[in-house]
Amino acid sequence: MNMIGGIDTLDSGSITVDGVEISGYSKKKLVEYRREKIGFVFQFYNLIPSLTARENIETTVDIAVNTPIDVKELMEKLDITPFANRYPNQLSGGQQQRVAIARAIAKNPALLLCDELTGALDSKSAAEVLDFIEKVNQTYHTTILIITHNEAIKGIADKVIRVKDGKVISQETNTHKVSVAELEL
Amino acid sequence: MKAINHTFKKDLRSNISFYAAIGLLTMFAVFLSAVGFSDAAMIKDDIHKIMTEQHVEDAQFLTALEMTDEDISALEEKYDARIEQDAYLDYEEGEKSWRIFRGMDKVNVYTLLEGDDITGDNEILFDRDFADSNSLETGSTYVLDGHEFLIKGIGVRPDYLYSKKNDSDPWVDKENFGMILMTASGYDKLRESCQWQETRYYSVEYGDEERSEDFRRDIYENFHAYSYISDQSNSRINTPATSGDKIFSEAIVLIPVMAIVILILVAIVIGRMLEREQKYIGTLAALGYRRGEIGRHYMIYAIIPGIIGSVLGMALALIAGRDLAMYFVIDFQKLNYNYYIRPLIAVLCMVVPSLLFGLVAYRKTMKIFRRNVVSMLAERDDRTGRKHGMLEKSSMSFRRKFRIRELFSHPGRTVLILFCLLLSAFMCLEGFAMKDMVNDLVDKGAEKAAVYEYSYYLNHMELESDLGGVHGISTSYETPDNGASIGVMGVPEDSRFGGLEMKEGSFGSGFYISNAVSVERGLHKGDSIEVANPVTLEKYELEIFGVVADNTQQMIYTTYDEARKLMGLDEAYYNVVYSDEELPISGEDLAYVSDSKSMLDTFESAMSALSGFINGVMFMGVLMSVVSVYLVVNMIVESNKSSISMLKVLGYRDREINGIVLNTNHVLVILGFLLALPMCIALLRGVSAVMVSRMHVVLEPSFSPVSALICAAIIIISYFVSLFLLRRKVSRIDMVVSLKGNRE
Repeated sequence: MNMIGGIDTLDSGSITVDGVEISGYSKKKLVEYRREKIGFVFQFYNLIPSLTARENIETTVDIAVNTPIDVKELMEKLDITPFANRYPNQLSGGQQQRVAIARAIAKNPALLLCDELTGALDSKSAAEVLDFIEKVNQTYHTTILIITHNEAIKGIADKVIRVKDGKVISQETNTHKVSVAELEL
Repeated sequence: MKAINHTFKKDLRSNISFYAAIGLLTMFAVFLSAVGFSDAAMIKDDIHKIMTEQHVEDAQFLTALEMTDEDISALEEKYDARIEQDAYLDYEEGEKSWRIFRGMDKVNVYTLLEGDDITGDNEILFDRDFADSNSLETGSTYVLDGHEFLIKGIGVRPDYLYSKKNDSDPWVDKENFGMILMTASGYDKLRESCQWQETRYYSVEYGDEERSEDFRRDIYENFHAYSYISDQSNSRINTPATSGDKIFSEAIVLIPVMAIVILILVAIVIGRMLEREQKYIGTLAALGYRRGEIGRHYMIYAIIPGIIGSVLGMALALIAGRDLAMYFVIDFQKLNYNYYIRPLIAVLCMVVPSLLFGLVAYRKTMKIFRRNVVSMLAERDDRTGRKHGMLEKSSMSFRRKFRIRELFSHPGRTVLILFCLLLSAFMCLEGFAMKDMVNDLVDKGAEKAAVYEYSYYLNHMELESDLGGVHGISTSYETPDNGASIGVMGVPEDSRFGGLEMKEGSFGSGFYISNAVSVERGLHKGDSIEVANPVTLEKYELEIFGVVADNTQQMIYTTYDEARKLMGLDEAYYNVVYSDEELPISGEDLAYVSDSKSMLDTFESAMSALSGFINGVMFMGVLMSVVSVYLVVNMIVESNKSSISMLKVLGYRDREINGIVLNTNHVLVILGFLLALPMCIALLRGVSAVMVSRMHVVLEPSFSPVSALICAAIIIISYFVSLFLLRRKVSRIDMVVSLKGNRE
């Protein structure tokens, strides 16, 4: 995921995103690539501790290349407004992850990369976050790539790719897509 | 513990800038402390030693009736004193002048500094300053007015360590005033074969200082003494004799303050470094290591830069300390100073930094242990919780809010960097301001001290001959409160002295003190000053009618008639001739000539020596600024490593990240500079007061706006140099490593 997102470089092979080969990008070009196309969500949220929830979201709006999503509207839609002025250490894990997702999509990226986004959450919070991701997908039509060890999550995906020891072992379209409420987390 | 101790090498490599900065600051503090106290002690001890062992005079006097050897022996026995007739010859050629001293046996005995002692009649010793300035070599022949001498070495008299030709000269002139020492018989033969001006006087060293007043009355009554100059009134003796104590008293105030500030800065940085180690501390605790074992491990971690800094500081003090000391005694003859770091200072310098850093590290480790292991592993401080709380509802941009919160959420760090910037700006401003003060004195001092181009001081009171020019009268009195010398100058009426520049009042009849007297003694128009005739010990209370703008002389100005009245002279005696033209006054009549050009040269040469010291202060200010800013901003970068990494992931460019993280302290640079200005002005007043008490001259606090601007530019440039160095650190922060760090 780091390589797809342009935060790590590859030793061999190639990566094509949206029809563009990015593996040969220079450091400078990768910065522009991340800036324009990619949104990241990590397992441990990686929010900036000295900024409030709203300000964390603003960090991506500030550098958005595409027309950004209105922060106020985004917070309303994703139920962040009640704790918008709180700092990360005043939020629960689920709330922090919601802010992290809002931050990632605020700049209206082409691709949202989620790395084990429920890995640090209890099942209730995980369900909330996945519900939230679904809402993002439906509302903003953002392409979302979720990387997870949790088999259950595959139920909400359109396409499932299995990777083992760095190799793709299967690729399939999910014909039995379910809602988050139906997942057994 | 062996296993965890293996991490030192890795620590050293990954924190090389930390070790270098801490080591450098420690080195600076140790160097300053070791050199400051050792220099003060060396100057005090060595000057005291030479004055004691070589029997420097307690006073010199002149008598109308010659004292026979029997008279001298009788007085010596009666007053438990050593008395000897002193003599020297003066010779001048062009700008240069030489004073040839007769070798003494009992008082003011010279000491050999270099080469071989003199035994033959044509053998001489030179003073070191003149020999160095004129590239004179031992073993060479020196010709003076047709007389050939063999230079055997370098020597110095204890009463001429501050070798001003005339006691009233504001400073020494090392290049143009040479002192030659000869054996008594060589001197006597030279005197008979030349026409040079000779001066004779008696020098006395008391066994019991308390009996000096009885002695003075005795020589006045029995030998008609007409001149008496105590060592307190003789700046050639008094200035070097008190210099060690003065330097020591300044060192004991300034050096510990600076050293403590530096050590506190270092201790804070170590504390914050350890904060970053909490995950590792937690891991060791989880593995079963005891608190004491881990505490000791981190003690060593902090002691290393302490030891490195102490060793380097001591080495530098050993190498450069002696040369630095020469700046404190730049006006005095260079002695063979016995420089060594005083054992107590050496022990303190070697032990205190390492001990302090070690204890800080141990205490910090124990403090981290108050958190539970899980918190440590997650790198959280659950006990207190970081408080950022401000501007949550403000519509200000998040970048600005980030910077403001960084300033206010870490008040200790902010105060520290403000203090460092303040200190740096202060040192730099101080250097510039002192330069301005010195330039001001050089530019205006000579002009104010010399009303006429030439001032001829006669060696006697003249009555009958008119030697040309306008006539005045000058003599020396004592101030009974401290025994210091103060001149009384009766200036001719209807002369250019009528237009003397005044600080207070306007010049007319009555007594006027120079500004140097006014500042040193806190006297003003309307006050009175008590003076005493140094020979008769009669006291006079003089009302002050004004203050003359003369910053370089300890002088009471009055009219010629008032001066004569004070001195009890009925007829029109005079002993000073003022003229704008050079007058053909015979050397036999002259004590010395003062002309405005040579005075300006003397001022310039004395002040150029001081410039080196001032440049040193400025350099330290800049160094302090670069190192302290680097250290503190480095701390900011370290503590925001994961945020920086995240901003990179989000697509921020390095330039934008630098703008958010590194530019936090811009406002502190301006604040530090603005706070340093009034501090600098206050210290200038202090320096001015010190210069008055030490050198008896007034350096007017003066600071040009151009200097302030240059200084601001230097501080800003040094600040941005530090930030520039840190940009590389920001650009090297890896996105993947930081994100992984957060995950583990």
